[in-house]
Amino acid sequence: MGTASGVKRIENEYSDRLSRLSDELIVSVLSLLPAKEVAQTCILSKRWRNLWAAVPSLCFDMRDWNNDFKKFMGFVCNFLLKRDKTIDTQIFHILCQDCSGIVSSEVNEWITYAVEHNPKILTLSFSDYDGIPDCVFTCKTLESLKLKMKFWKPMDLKPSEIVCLPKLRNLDLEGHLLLH
Amino acid sequence: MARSSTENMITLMSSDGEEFMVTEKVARECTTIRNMLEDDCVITNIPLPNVTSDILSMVIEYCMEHVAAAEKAAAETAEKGSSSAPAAAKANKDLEEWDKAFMNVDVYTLCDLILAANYLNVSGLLDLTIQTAANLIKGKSPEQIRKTFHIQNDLSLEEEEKIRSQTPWAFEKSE
Repeated sequence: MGTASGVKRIENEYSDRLSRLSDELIVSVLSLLPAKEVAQTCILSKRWRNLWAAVPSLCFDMRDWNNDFKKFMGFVCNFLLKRDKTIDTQIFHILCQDCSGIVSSEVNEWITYAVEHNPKILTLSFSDYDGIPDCVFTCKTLESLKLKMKFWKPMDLKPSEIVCLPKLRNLDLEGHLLLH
Repeated sequence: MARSSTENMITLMSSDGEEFMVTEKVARECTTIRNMLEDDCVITNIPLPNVTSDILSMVIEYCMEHVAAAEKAAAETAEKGSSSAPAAAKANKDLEEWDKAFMNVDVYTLCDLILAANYLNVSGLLDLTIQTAANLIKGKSPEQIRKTFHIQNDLSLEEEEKIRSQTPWAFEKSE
């Protein structure tokens, strides 16, 4: 009797805790982590191999790469290329504190990717950046949009001819306006 | 209080047969139970075959605390006509502190609480437990995550190397 309960206890202590959760619940946990850490869970075990690819909430923060834009860009491109494209990006944050080496055409592709995957919350934070793609301003699912730039040029403020954001409830613009 | 003595009581039965008597208000914090009560309003005894007594007592403790906090806030609003912002902020902070202390559990209990919160559909508790699990993963190496959650690595060294070589971008170190 004593032995049996002892064995059971050891089993309980060493059995895999998180694995008892459904994929859906594990993905909810991963949704609260930075994208860099999300991707690295692919190595945990066989079951975790592809869970990262189904995460609908993505936060790419250049600080996680010590502002090394080249590694940051390589990561985001690969992450978006390899993730499961049938999963929406409900929450999508891009935070670039130092844009000096950034390639606009690639960043525009990321933003377009997010807009095409029915985002509800979108945060684009750049030290400076030319031309947020027009598709952001006609995104039908967007509920919250945050645009943060160190400096805005007046031309940035009329991004497209048509602005149509039917679901938008929060708009947050941050930065200094350059008048000339 | 006269009010509480007339309040409907519901008996929740855990998987190991223990009975917990709670007010209907507390039981309704669980959306799964609320839906049962709305479908069948005379139901007073609810078996919960997926939840053990240890975990059920914790879920009930959480629901009671949150119901009491909401009732206290409502009473203060009724008394003063409007809620005072500093008092409401303090009450929120107290509840947050309570939640934080409540989450001081081992990983095994945490995972059981996530499963119970999901099954009973207690959204506040589910958010709290999921966030706690995420905090436990954050900043850890894969090896540390395996250790924290006792994840058995069923990948062979070769398989692990293969994944790393297929996804080098995920493991690139920043200087």
